[in-house]
Amino acid sequence: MLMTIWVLSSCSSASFLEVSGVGYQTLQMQESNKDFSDQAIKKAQILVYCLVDKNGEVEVMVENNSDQMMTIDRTKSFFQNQNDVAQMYYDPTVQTNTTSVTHGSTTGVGVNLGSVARAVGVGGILGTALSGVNVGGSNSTSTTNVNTTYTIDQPKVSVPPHGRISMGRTFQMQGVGRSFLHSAVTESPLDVNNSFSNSNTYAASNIGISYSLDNETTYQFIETHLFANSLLVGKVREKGKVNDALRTIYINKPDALLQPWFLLYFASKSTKDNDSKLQPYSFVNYQ
Amino acid sequence: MKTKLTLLFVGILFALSSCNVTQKITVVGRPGTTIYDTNDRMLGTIENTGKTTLEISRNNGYYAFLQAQAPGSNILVPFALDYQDCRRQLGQNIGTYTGAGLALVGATCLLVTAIAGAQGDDDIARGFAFTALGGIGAGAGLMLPCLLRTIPDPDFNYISTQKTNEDLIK
Repeated sequence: MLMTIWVLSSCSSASFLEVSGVGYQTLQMQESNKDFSDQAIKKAQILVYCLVDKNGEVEVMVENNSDQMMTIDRTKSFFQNQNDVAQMYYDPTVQTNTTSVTHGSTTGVGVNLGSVARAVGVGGILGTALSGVNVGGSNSTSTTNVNTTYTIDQPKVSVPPHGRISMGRTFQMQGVGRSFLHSAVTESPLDVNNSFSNSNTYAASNIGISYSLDNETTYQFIETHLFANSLLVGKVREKGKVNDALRTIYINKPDALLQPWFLLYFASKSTKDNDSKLQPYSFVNYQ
Repeated sequence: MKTKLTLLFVGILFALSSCNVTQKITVVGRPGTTIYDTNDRMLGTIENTGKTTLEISRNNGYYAFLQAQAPGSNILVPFALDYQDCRRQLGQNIGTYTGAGLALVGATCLLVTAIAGAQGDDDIARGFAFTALGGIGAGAGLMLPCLLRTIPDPDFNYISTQKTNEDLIK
């Protein structure tokens, strides 16, 4: 009976795979209609690179394309999602990281008198009495070192001529990434095939960089706008037939794989890294 | 009885072995097309027969897609991997329960053997002793491999033949 209970309780509980559909979205930079010829880029003073990963995290890099030192005012540089407050790149909070290490040591020697008594041939009552007696002993000491590291953000950073820096913080672009596409696919009962402009989009962000090229006498400002310009969902109609859902997306958007930045996501409960394909792209703006 | 037990045993073994941790699939597409995994690692090239056989590891869960690159193209075209539910768990449970049942019958027979032996009924004791040994041996032999088998989660198999999507891409 016990064995049967053990057998029953040890049965595994593997689940079945459920892929509900495929989601697809693209991003575009509003300033992409600028002149991006080599000549125009060569004349630029500042280049702003925006990289968006498969989770919708936006990293911004700034390149000083001039021959002067550039100062970036991070207190006046920001990231802003559509319908949300702007967040500064400068983080005034002090980050602390505390680690403690304990060192310990044990010194001294213990001798059991019973073993000594046996060794010298003392037996009988005395030998028995001594067998439980220890002489000497050990001494344990320990010290704990606490190391605290304070990280203080810099309000202003300098970029050497033709140098490049990261703005230091990444921000989540709302409405972009695997998590968003997961919701879009699982919550949509039907296929979706929508295109958007920057004025009616479901996801947009504004990145502002304040910089100076004259030793902080005057500051200039460059804004970069990213927005989602398409959203497609292909639902899996028959369990396991995922490729039919993917083909729906290719049929509705034949140039799906020719977009500069796109994210293709397969919505399943199995949240592995191999559930999506990102076409990485660096959006570049200049001034 | 012996034949039925053998058939049952073979059936369960077949059910268990039909779902392996790595799986071979055939990809059908244009000859010369190269197949890549999700990390852009090359897996193989479609032969002149219009198909190629690939082995996919099951250790990292479900690979939602692979990618196909046509000769002369620089675009990797994702194609989703179709799948079907697998019944490893069902097979494991059947094997485990059947093994446990056989072992239980064997244990009962062992008890009868002991009682009959104590009462001096050697013929009955001998008869039950063979059944006891057979039941416990077969039960343990069936149950233990089932219990020790690790079942991937989720429990699925890729469809054996998958198709690329090059035909739809401009």
